[in-house]
Amino acid sequence: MTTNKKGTHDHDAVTTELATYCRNEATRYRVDSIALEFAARGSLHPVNVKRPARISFMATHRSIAVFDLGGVLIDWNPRYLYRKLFHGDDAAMEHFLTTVCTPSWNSQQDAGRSFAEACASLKLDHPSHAALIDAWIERQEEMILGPIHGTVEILAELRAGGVPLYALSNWSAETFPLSLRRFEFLRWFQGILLSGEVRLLKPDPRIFQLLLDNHAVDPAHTVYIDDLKPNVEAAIALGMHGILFTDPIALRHELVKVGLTPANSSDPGAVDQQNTKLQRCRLMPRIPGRIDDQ
Amino acid sequence: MVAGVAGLMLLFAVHLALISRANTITWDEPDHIYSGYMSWHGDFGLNPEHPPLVKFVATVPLLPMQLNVPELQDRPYRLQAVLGGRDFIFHNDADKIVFRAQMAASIFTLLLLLIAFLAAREMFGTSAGFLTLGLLVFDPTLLAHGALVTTDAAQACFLLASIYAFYRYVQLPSVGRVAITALATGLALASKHSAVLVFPMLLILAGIQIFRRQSADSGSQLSAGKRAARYAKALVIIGLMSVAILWAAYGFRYAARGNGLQLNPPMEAQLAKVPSPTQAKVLHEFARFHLLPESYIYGFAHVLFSADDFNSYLFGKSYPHAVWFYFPVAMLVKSSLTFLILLAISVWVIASGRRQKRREVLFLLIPPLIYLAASMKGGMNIGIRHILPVYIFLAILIAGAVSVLIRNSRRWRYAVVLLLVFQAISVTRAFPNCIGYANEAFGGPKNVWRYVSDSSADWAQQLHAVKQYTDKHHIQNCWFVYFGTGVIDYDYYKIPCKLLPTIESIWLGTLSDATPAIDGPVFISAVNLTGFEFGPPPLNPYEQFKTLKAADAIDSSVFVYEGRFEIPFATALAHAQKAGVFLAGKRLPEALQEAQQAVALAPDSAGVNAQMGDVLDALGRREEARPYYATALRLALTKQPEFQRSLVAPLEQRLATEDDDEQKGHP
Repeated sequence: MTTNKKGTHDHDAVTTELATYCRNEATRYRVDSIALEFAARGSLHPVNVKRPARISFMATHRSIAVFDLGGVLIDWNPRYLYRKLFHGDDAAMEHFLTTVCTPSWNSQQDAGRSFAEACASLKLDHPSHAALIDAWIERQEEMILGPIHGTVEILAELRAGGVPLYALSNWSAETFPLSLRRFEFLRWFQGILLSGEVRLLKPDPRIFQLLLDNHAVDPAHTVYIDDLKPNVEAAIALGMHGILFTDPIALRHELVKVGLTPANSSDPGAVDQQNTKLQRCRLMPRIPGRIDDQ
Repeated sequence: MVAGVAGLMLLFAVHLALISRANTITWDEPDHIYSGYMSWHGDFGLNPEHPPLVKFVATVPLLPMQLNVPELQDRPYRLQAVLGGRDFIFHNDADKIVFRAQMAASIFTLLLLLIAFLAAREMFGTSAGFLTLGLLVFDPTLLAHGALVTTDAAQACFLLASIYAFYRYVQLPSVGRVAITALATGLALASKHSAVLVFPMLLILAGIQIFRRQSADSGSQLSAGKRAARYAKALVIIGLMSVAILWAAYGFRYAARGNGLQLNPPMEAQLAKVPSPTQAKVLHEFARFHLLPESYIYGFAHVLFSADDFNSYLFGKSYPHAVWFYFPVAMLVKSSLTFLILLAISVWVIASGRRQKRREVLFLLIPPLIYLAASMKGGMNIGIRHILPVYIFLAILIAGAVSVLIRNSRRWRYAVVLLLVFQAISVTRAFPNCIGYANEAFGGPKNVWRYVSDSSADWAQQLHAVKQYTDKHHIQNCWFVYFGTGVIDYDYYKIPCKLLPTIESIWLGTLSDATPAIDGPVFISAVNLTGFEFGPPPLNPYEQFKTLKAADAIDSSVFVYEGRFEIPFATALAHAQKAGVFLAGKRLPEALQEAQQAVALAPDSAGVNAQMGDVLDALGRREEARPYYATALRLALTKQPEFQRSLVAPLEQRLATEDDDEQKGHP
């Protein structure tokens, strides 16, 4: 599992998230590009996007759902652990996470390297941080705050509706059993493919193809949900319908559009919130260089 | 009239004989025939999940034969019956035994036809009787299963007989008619466990008769209270007498096995598997007070707990359990179009009031509805044959409804005759592979495997046809993924193909010499192709063949593939199975070698990793075993976990044991 930005919801992060959302909307539903350009430039002129009609026209029937796990269904972040170990010294923690246990170091475990080997070699380079390095594997569970409840609710609805569910995650095969024991919903999937077991990392198209081949999944009927844009793009390139995950409400909205789940009647505010978000898309100023940083 | 009935029944009997000659024994039959033969010698403990009546009758022609009977071994009853059945059939003249047993079992189907005719004639007139026969003589399900040594046709026969006899009792109450109802009910109970549904059927029908307005034809002007008392008394007598008849079927002996033999596993262990505590307690009390024969109670427990063990397959999708819509959907595929069209017309006739006889309609509608509802709620979706009684009742109902139309209209008469002729042609086109029948709306028999599986499409009955195919094409080397592997002695038919692993071959210890790459022709049974048993991808080692175009199809249910194929997963299963055999024989180095080969070929298989763990554990290399168990558990939980749930608990237990041992410092 690679480090993500979840849990750091400052103003910039929210803006970035929103920008991603808007961009993603455009990619997926081919909203009139001129209209989007107006929106992105922050034009206050009314933009006649006519989204509903366009979306329903473009909508394709999708009947299978493939989920990413970290950042979509499970709130994983090493900061949940290291904030405790650094006693709230965020600067020191961030330094450690950008110089010692870095995302690229972790992604090697996601790609199949054993934690024992990884920690041993890292401790040789950083002997003074040996205890902190060991904590990465010994206290893995503390990096997981818990499930992302809204998404788990959606997952439950899809399951109840008989939608075949699969998961594709950059996650170490070594540490995954901890989560399997902890989260019952992980047993709802008909198949879970981990980068750690096949030694391939998303967005490598081969890992997507493996999932499709192993489970005889037709990409033309599949929705892929991930919080990282390159992964979504890789899925789209293979014929899946990609959804960039930002939050459960937006996800529900997207799934409704592709006909995969009904809007949650118990959450009448969901659609309103969604509309508000779309409205903000049209008014939001362009943030150069940020949109593609997902 | 008699000549007409006799002619149609003779035609049907000839068809059954031809089907019996053309097909080889089906998956379920060896153990039925064997246990039937053993029942004549006082042993009801081999196939207790089926009461003994059909098995008794089917094995009567075998009694004068000099037969090699396999020696009883102290194996669990299922294993003993299946392996003993295979040896019993194939260590003798298999074709002769099977033909004789099937012809004897056909008596129930012929009796069923006769009763159906009599019931239809009495209820709706002679033309309805012949219409019923016309429908049933070419009914694909009845033809497919009419001669098999299984319980379906006999149960349908006696369920119909019970309801028909009760109908006659209601028409004109008499002691004799109660006794006949009781006799039929008892024979139904002695045919199949699900025949207990006859009691709610009789109860509901009696209840309706108590409260419905007196009809002119009843000949009785009793008050509702008196009618209730009369029917209650009749039902009690029917209940008691039928249970007595059931006892008679077991020779009035409580113990399931004679000669000092014991049930394996014992009754308590069997009852412990029943998922519902209430049902388990009821069966326990029945056993405690010897209220029913031990074998019957034991078999009833089997029916209750085994229902959850079956996968389902419908329209290309496997389910790890039964689905409520299986039977209605399977009926659409497996019924003739004639039946479906006439059923729709009958609904219209009855709903519009053209068919007046309400009592008759209720007697023919309520039993199949109860049976269908129970089947839809039940846990077994392995064949349309399980709702055979539904077809029989509906055939009579259809005949009753349609006879109203044809009575006054020449056009209707022509239309109905045309539909019956169409049904005859449709079924004849599938002949002799009636098991694989599908109607024309679903593409006929050649497409049946796409929609349904197991005894609705492929029941391992094609070995004569496969042998003819290999002879005709001069095939000397081939591979066969055969549904009946292990259950049926494949070598007996001298087919030149080597066997590839299946669920049955692994369960029953039939080894395979599979190699990672094989050259065709490869023959694959429909059940194995669909993944009905192994499960959906990635659990089905033969999944790749689904996307290939078969060079040929034998009996629409064995597919032939030409070319070179890589089958690492199937080969891994073969190695893992050998590892298990070596492990059981304490030949640990060989076991390790086989397990290593298996893991190298299929590192993503939970079963293969678990086998490797077991071998290493037996070698005392527990530290090395642990990661294999952990991997196996992860794979079991992440690759179609619902189809691998049986692996989870043992693996968790293994890992927990290892943890305990580690904490205690055990090596």
